[in-house]
Amino acid sequence: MSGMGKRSFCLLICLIIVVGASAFPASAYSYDDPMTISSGIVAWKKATLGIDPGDLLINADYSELAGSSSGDWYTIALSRLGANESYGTYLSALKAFVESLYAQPDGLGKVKATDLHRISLAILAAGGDPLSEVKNISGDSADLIADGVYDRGRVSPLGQQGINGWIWGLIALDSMRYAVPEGAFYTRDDIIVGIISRQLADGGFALGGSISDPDITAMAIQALAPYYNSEKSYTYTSDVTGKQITATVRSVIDTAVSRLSELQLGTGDFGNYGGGSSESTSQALIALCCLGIDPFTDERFIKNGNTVFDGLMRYRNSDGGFAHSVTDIDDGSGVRAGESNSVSGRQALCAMAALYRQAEGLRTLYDFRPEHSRAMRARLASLEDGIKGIGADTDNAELEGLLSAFYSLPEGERSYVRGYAALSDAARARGIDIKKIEDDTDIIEDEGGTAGGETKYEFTDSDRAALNALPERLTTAHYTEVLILLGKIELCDDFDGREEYLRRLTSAKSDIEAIQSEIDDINDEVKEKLYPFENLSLKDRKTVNSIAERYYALSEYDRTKVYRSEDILKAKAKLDGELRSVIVGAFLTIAAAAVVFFLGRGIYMRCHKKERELTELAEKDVEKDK
Amino acid sequence: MRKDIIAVFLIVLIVAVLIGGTDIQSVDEYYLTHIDDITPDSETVTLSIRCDTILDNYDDLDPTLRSEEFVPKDGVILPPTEYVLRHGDTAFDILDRATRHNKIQMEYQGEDRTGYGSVYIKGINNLYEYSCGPLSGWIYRVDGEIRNIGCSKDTLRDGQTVEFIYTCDLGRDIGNSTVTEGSDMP
Repeated sequence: MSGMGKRSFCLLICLIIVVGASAFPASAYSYDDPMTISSGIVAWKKATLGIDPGDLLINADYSELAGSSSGDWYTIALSRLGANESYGTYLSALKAFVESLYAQPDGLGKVKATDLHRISLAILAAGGDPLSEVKNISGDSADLIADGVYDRGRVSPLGQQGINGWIWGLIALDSMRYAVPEGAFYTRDDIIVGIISRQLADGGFALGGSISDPDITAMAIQALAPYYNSEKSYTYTSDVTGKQITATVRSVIDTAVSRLSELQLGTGDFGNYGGGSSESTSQALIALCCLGIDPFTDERFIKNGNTVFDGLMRYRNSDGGFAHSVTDIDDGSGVRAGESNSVSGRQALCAMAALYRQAEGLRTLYDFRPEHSRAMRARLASLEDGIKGIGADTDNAELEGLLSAFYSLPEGERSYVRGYAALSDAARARGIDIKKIEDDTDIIEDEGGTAGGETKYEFTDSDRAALNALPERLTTAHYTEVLILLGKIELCDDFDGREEYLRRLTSAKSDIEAIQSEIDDINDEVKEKLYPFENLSLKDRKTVNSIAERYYALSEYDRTKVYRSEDILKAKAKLDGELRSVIVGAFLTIAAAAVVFFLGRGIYMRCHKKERELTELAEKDVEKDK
Repeated sequence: MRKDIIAVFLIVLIVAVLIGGTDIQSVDEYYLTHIDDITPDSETVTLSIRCDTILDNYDDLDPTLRSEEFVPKDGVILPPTEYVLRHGDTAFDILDRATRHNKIQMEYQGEDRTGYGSVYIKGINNLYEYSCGPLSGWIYRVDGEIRNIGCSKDTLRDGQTVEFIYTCDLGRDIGNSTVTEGSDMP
């Protein structure tokens, strides 16, 4: 934070002049606060997860959330804040998670497009590459930007889940300003039109209906922001009115920004249905930062002296976290809207990251390209200075010079020229042919780009200890740890014993994967074979016993991963009982038969005894008579 | 003669046992296998699963799902059925048990992954969120009221009625507009 003061001061001054707003910031807060507030959110988050305040948030346990909203956003925000965390750990887990998605029977079909977009950002944040980090089932590199964005339409429309799919698709596509190849399902313009064609009559955007929603309006602005300085006109059919419209992205954003300003509440925050929410406010703050608007000074976003930042701070609790709502409503469920929660926290953390980056002159929140070189910063600053000086006495040659400077910038950097719209308007007013200047100007590439080197890793003693501490009998609980160690060792140069470690970890990985697939299999079998209970009969005894045997063969930990395992015990108890009944029944039947037999024989014998006695008597008489 | 009487008595006894049933179970086993049987003392809840809103929005339905197998003619996936309420059961527990016992497909996202601290029901009977337009998905009501808290956080009481209903318009098509919009970051 030491070097931040001066730079942010300069930036603040620039912004004040650019937007021509009041020179006296109305807010009680400043650009110095995002770091403090971020630390508070992280401290709160660690407390809820039982992590020691001195330890990292992103550890092996946390990494089990890799690929979910609850895990990814904290990782993205922390990385964009430049926080020191164990990103490699997270990346290993993320990679395994995405590979499991690719391995599903219907591939990525049932995975939401926006999940893939968020995951792409998380991979970048964790230091990976969405184009090659993950392998698909055939072992080839999977391209998440292709599969999640420009070729997503081959599986299901990008807009299947509504405007969200287009918005986050564009954000993911522009995270590294990825090019869309020839023959892709969607062109970049298709995706841009996917958003702008859904602009509502009131200027904003929404998931559905005709009334704009502050969150979606803010997110649409975030996605479109890289095109704010583009002069390109789009002709498209409005999804709302069905009419044909020709517009630049700038004009779309301008009306959306006006609408967003209208939606701001008197307390500085934003929300739906009249009530404010921290999430809407966080999104608005991110949107302003994506456009380079200074939330502390731009009068469009100060209401009754309250800035968006002031608005967001209303939701900050004493525990450092953020709440959904200012009023602490208890709806009887035990969930209180005024308590700090993970969703509010992660969005506020993203907003703080956006603000911090604005203050530091870093790239915007979702622009993951290497930072500007010194030379590029100087070019941008001098162009902005020139634009600020535009007035009635500026001659045409000067405007044309500024336009040439603008068009000499690589296309992807033009969005960083703040105030370009003023130059464009002035040139247009004088009848200057902007298109001609664009065509006549050669692009001067940025020479001083920061080249990212290969990351290398040294296998430490504690890594060795962790590896040796792995038990003989592995369970799925060790999976993340094994993946992390494997990820580390793959980054290591050869050392004595590396081969052996690599072999042990690889076999540990496949052993655990085998256990996992056994668990999955048991879960499927249970669902398939055990229900409904009433229909289970002795015929099913073999199946049930085999499921039970397989269940007991698992370690105690892995047994907890079998869903509703009590049903296995229940089915077994039922059938064991039935078998016992049959055996006892058979035994009793035999016993009854035996008793009947002996009883019958007894009676028979008794009856015949008399007969025999008489016969014997008669025989004796005969003998006597002789 | 006395032997005969004993023998006859034995036969009667054995026949009585055979007719009366030979279920011989330990107390634990009995409890385990009869836990879901409804008795006069049982606490129960009633669960139903419906998707009739899709019938009015059939054009928006994913073409691969346009079959009675997924969307029954009357929109009823599970008619109101009484289930034993075990201690601490949530709406999710009942749904999970009912779908398993009736072999109805159901997919959810686990509590730790949603960030809301509750499971999220992604699909029932192969009908998923967004299967019928961008505002579609599963919501649930308890005693007729749409609940905005996660179903695995919602502990039920004796006699309550739980309905899982597919909406095509964020709950507005079920006569309720208080469903918070799904406009959060993805």
